[in-house]
Amino acid sequence: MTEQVLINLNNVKKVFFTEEVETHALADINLTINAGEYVSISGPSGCGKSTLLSVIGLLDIATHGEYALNGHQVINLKNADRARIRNKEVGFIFQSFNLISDLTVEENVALPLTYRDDFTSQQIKEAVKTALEKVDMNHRCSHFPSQLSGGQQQRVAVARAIAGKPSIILADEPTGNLDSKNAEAVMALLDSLHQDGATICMVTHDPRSAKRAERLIEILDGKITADNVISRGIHAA
Amino acid sequence: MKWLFDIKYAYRMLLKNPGFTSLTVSVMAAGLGLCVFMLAFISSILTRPLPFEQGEQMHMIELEYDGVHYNGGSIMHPDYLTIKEQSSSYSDIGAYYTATANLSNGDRAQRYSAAVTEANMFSFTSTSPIMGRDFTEQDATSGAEPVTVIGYDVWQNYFNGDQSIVGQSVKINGVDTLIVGVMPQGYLFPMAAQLWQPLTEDATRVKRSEAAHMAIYVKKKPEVSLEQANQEVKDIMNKIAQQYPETNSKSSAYVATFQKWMMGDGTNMIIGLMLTAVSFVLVLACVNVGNLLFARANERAKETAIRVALGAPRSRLIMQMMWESMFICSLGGLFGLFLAAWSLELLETILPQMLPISVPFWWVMSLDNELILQSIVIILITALVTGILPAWKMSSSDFNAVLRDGTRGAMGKKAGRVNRVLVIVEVALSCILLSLSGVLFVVLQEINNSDFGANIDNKLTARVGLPEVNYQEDNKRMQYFKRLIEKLSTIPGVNKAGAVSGLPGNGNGYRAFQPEGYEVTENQYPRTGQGVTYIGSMQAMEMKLLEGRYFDSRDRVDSLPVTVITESMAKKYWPTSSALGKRFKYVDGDDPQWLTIVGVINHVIQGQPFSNVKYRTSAYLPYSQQTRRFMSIFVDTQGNPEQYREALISAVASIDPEVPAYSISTLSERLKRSTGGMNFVRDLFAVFAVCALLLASSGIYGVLANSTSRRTQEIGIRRAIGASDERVLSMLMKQGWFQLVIGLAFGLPIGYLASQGVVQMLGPDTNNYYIVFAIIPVIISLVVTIATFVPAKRAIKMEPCTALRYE
Repeated sequence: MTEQVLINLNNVKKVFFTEEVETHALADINLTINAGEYVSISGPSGCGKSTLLSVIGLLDIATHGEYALNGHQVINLKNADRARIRNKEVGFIFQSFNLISDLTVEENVALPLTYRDDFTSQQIKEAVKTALEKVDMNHRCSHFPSQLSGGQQQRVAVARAIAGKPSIILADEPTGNLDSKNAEAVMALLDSLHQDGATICMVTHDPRSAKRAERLIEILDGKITADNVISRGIHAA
Repeated sequence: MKWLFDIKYAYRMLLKNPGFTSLTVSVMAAGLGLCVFMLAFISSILTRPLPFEQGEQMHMIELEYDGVHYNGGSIMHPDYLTIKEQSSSYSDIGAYYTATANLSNGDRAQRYSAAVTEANMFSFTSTSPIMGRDFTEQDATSGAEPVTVIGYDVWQNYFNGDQSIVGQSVKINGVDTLIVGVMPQGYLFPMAAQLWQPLTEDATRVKRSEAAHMAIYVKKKPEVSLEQANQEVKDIMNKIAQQYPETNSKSSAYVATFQKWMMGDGTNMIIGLMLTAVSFVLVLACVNVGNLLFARANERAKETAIRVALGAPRSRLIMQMMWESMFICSLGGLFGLFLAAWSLELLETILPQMLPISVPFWWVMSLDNELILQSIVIILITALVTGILPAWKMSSSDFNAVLRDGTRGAMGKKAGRVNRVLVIVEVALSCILLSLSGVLFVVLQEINNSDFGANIDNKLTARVGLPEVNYQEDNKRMQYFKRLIEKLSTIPGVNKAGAVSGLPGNGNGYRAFQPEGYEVTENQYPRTGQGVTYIGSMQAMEMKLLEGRYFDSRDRVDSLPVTVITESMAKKYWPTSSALGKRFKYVDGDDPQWLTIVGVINHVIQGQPFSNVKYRTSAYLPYSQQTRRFMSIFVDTQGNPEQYREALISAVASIDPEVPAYSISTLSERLKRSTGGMNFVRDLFAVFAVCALLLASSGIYGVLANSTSRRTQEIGIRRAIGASDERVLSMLMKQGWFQLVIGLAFGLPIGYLASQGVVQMLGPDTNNYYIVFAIIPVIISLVVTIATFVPAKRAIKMEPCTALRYE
């Protein structure tokens, strides 16, 4: 079976310019992620892993290099096109959940879908319901984030990430703000999504979380220093 | 329908922050309310078409003499006939002059304003009487029975709404006149007329120098521009001037809307200043709310970053913020509209008491559909202006950095700069408005305390007008005033009584004259006021005699024509020697006799006590040598002069029941009215200035409180590493003071320049108004210091460990 290439980074560099200081966050990154893969990126603080995730998620623009998402070059796109692709192709999960405190759970999950033209109000309702059911948060749909525990908030964030059926889920330290019990629940949820066919790219410090992925990439000083396929990660163990 | 999602969110955010919402809504209500009020006021007095069919085409033709526009009905009747015959710019044209009508039914006399008009006036306004008929061609023929059409108020008040009034006869100025019609309620055309009489053919049968002076009303053809109409009338008047140079050499004419004609040229600057002031208040309100929204946008930087990460298009992000400003401005606008409507209603009630003239009928202080529509447009523009900068900044911030650092979003350097600039703008704008308001206050205070050259306390005054038919001869007029003043003097509590043609503060005729031996080139005669006083009136009014004598019994109709002049006139025209015994003559009328100066009194202000008018010189003639039908009478009373009102009315009626006293008021009240318009402007500016100061202080407080709150962690760090509270406080205060100094550096010079317009117009005697430019920086500094100190003090009250954890 031919594997479909979802992400293809070719010689990507990212340099930050701040008041005459150049910081090379990413240097000559070459990376391919296939559809259905579960990739973990790890490394020490400041090594560039979050920057790499931002470039993959079109939150940031590479200073140099080529980037093809789903076969389309996206490096030189306008902001509006990047927003459209981000909305449709990428689902984000952040360390600090990043739910909007003044929107209910249901509204938070619906929010990215309201930015899309191909979803009617009815379709949005259905998609939100399905996503919340998947993370077992349907019963809290009218609550505000402040009324939820950290684990519940992250589950809502996962629901928001998957509601629009994106091509890839990008998770930036998804368990960083959770206790071990809630962290385990969230990781189990990601496993489950992966088993259902989702492509996941996760940045993490936590070796236990990293081992749940089937491919482990290590970064140091903006360069990929290791790229190993682990057969089914923790599930294989 | 996805925008409903954003609307719901904006609504929820406003409900969640009632303090922020009520502050911003109040600010917009004040700004928009004042703006709508001013627009309605200006529309009412200047731009709204007259409430008649083709009202927008109705104009007046009036005299322009030596480049100066007049508005008192000043075109000679023969000139009017020429204009009517030769012009082609109008679909309808007519003329009238205003007159005083003493209405008497034998028991009671009452004075009303009348318009003596051509028969077409009612058809010109497409208005028919509610009872009876209007004028016919027959009414205008020579020798026709005198007829009148009365106004609704006259019918209701004088005739108690008598249903059979049409066909009844009444005396007007002593002449039996048939009432032929009653006009509808509110009909006061051409300005404040209460009854109408037909202009008869007799007006055309007099020589040019004796012709009546008319105001001309025209209905301009829609296809003719105002400029074309003006050019045509000027051309016609030029031809007349060539034909009759002795009467028309400097005369021309101009076409203007009724509103412009009524207000005159001088009001443009006042209106311009008021519009500028109200625009400043609105801009301040927008800056204020914009600044608060901007601060909030910064607070919500993380939320925006999340939305961006989720793929929100920029347009949706901008609209998200715009909905909030839309809510705030719409609610503020709604409250502002109510506020404006209420203020206009209040103004309509108090305006007649404030102005020295009758309020024209088109001054209807209300919000019409067009104004409401304009207000909605202004509200929408305001919402756009207020929301666009915060929305733009919010949608273009570095969302990646915000997402990365995980805080609510710190205020970036650029955001801080925008905030600081907005605070500087607020300080500068409020400084300009306070300068204007302060200068107006100081200058008008000086004007209100003017020395009129007479004792204005405890004087009750009234006008009387003798009907021409009964008082054609001088001796009858003399007898009347002799008896009247004797009668008034016998009222218990009255110290003295008198009669003058124009009371201090009221205008007298301003006439061209020639001092004996004075060289005059090209008819450039000097001008001086001409007043007439009854014997003893100058003493009763306490006009101080400086040289010579007052008028007395020696000044008879057949004795040497004499005059008493003001010190200002004496010094101007006879600066090197005494003016006593010197002579001059008026050269612009039918009385070119030499007048000998027998007395000099102190300067008396005859007219409004500001600008050049207050320095106008005056000469007074004895009533015995220059009788008048219309005079102002006064009594000097013991105690409150208002208590003598009935006694004065009775005394006047007892001399001749057909001659009523009218325009009865105390002299101080009358003088207050003469500056009423300016005082109204001053009060409006005071409201603008107070609003500006409140807006600026709340805005500055809001912004500084926000920026200080944003620096809580920084303050915690500084204190943790050993900075003293005083040092931190001083650092925060310096930030506020820096913006204050820059704002004042812009605001004070602009405020000074703007106030010079007021100074030039009102011409104060002193430079006392300079004090304003010392006081205003102190007031603004105080406000800014408090607005900076309160949040700064709050910040250093927090324990350093709490501040370090603050998010």
